[in-house]
Amino acid sequence: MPQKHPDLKKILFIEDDPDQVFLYQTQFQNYPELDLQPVYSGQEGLQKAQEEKPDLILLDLLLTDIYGLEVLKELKQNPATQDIPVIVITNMFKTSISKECIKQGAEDYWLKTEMMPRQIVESVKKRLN
Amino acid sequence: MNLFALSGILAGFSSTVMAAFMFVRGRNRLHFLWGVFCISVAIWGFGGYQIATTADPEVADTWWRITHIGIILIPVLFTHFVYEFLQIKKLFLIVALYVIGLLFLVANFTDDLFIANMRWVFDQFYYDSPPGIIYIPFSVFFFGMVIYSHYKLWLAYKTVQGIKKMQIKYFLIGMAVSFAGGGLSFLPVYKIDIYPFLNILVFLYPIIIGYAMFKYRLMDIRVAARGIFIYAGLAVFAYAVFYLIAWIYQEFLGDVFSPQGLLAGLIIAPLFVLVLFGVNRGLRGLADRHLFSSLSNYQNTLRQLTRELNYHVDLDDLVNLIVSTTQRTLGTPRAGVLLANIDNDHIKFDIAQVTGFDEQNGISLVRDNFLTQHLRNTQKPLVRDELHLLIRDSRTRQEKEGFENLLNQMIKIEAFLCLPLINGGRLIGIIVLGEKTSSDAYTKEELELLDTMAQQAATAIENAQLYSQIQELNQDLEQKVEKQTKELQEKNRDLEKLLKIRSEFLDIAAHQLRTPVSVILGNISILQEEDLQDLSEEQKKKLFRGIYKKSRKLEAVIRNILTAFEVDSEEFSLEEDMLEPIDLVRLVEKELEEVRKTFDLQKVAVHFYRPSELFPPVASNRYYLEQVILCLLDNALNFTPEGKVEIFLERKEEFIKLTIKDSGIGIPESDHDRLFHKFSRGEKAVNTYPHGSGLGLFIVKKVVEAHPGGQITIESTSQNGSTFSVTLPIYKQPDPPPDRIQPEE
Repeated sequence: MPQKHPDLKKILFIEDDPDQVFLYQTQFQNYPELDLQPVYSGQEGLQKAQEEKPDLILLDLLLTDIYGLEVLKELKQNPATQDIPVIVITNMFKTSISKECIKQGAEDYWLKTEMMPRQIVESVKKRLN
Repeated sequence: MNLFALSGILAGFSSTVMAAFMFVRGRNRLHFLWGVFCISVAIWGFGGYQIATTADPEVADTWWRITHIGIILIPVLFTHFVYEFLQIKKLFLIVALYVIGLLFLVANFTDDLFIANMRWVFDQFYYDSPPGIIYIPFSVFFFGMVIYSHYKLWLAYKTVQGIKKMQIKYFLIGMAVSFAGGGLSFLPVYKIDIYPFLNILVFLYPIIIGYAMFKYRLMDIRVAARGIFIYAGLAVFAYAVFYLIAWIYQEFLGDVFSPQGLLAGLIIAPLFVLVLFGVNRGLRGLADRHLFSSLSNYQNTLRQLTRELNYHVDLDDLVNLIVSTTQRTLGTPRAGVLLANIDNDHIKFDIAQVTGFDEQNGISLVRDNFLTQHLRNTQKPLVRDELHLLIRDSRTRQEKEGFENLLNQMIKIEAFLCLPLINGGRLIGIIVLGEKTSSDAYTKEELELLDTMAQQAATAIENAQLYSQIQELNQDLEQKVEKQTKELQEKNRDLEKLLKIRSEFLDIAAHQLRTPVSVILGNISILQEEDLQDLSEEQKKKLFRGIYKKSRKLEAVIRNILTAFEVDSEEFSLEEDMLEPIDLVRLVEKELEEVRKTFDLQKVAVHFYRPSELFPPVASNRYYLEQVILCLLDNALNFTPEGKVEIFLERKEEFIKLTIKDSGIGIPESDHDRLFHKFSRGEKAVNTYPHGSGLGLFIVKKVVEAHPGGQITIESTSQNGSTFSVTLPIYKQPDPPPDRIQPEE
């Protein structure tokens, strides 16, 4: 792990595909002020969000255990986590789903094939500043 | 008054009534001829009365000459009538008769050629005896023509059948009796002084013939009893009232023109009119009950009925109309309609409507088919009275018994007339009528009218039957349309559901395709954009491996989708030439190697229990079987977030059973059926198990069942894991065994 940055921002990444986790981790390592913490299931994500109180959550929708939208709802219902901004990052190209996510309190809805890893990191950074 | 006078006045009176009737009701030459004949007899009768009641030879002479006008015309008119009646056409003979008759008439008015002397006979009256010279040939002519005519009638009687025979019989009897009686009165002319007491028989002929007219429709003329009755009744009433009032005036009121007389008239006149109407109505009612109703009356009604028949399409209405109108018009309390019911080529007659008859009895008429056969053959109304004649004339014993049976049946149920309803040569029904209230016979006109009506009715009934059939058909059609609409709606719902599933599938498939693409793209962009020095060798390697892995995954997803479409056709089956021997143990091991890493990553243990014995190869196709095993493993992994997956092989006779058992979340039984459908996933699966394409099990089922005897089963309940078993046939050497097949595994 890189050294602790004075303005270190914690980003919780809820994603079940190890290949993708590795891909984004590789991209994020160039930004020492951004600490990407991956979890591989929804359940783990909910737990970690409450414990770690991250500055931002990146949420995949199709997870092995719980549907991402349900994770989002629970995050927004829990007073401990409801103020943490959540960005949905997925390959579900469905307007109805993206709208539903925004409605449920997601900050944004990003498509993995549309945004290259660098763009994603830049956008995260911009949003946190 | 002596007997000669009495017989004369009786004969004269009865003949006059008959003649009057003929002129009033008669319509054709036959009726006219008969009327004239009766007048000539009447002249003889009344003339005889005058002769019998005078003691003056001058007066007697005059009346003898007048009487002879009638006597001369009798043989002429009688012969003419018989010719007309028997429809013998000999114009020359008829003309000759009249010429001869004319000659005798002329002779009748000569001084002494015909009537010459008056002789006081029996101490009662003068007789034209002895006669003039021409009287002798006249006598011969008279008896000659009378006997000749009777002979002609006798001949006809011997040859004709049916009602005509009866008509001739009665006519012959009536005339023979009368001529025999009257003929004797010729004797005293020739000084054979036998009292002409048998002249009394002459008045019988109008009675006998009248009876035949009534009973056997002789000359087809109707007895206008009803009209005569009403007319005479009213006349008697008016006559009686007139004299009653006249008497009252005479006794109590004095002069008709006195004030009280005029005043009384004001009361009497309206009273009379009032009572007259009542009497008229009463007489009509009486006549309707006991006498014929007028022919024209029901001619009109039946015509109207015939017209009305065309407006009815409802069978019940129609039958009702026929029954009620015939009943009302003819005055028959009993009437019924039987209709043919064709049932498996067997024609059965059922009662459509009946009044007055007992239903059971109505059926008895047609029980033995004799009546229907008869009606079908003759296509004419059958009158009960004619059955006597048919019985007598029947040629075979069987026929005779049939008619006798029928007669008994008709008598038993008091049926008088059976009218066939014929349409297109087929007997479609029978109208059965009872006796008229008046007990009168059915006249020929009535029968013709009824026959015409029956023809119309038959057409109308057939139409109504067709109409009702069409209606039934319509109703049937409506029901069918309704059913099909329902089916369509259901299909539509199914389709909507299918579309929903399809769009769900597309979402998932798109996701399945995009996910590896996004990783490949992402990894490549890092490798491109990053300063490669910043990446460790390990990272680079991992990124490349990611690209490779996801490319393989992408390839698998594409293959999955393509295979799904390939096997999703009616024709898909593994033909014998597509089957090859495959060592299932080796294949499972090979596929397991492919996926083991994925299992490891998900921390799901996977174990293959190799069979201890050596299994023969299965008959399958490598390309498809690989996918089956991969799909089943993939499926097991998808349903098992954690735990283990076990694989077994066992031999079951000619099959090998591959079982893949997981300890995952299981599949509720309600989902089992649709599990193998295209684009279908378990209820929870859409949201919960994101990595299946929804096609895997569909492919497995299609491929497995394409094998001869191939089967797939699932045992699973919610929360208790799932066990999928696939049964595949053991490979057999084809007959004859071709040497090219070598197991390669």
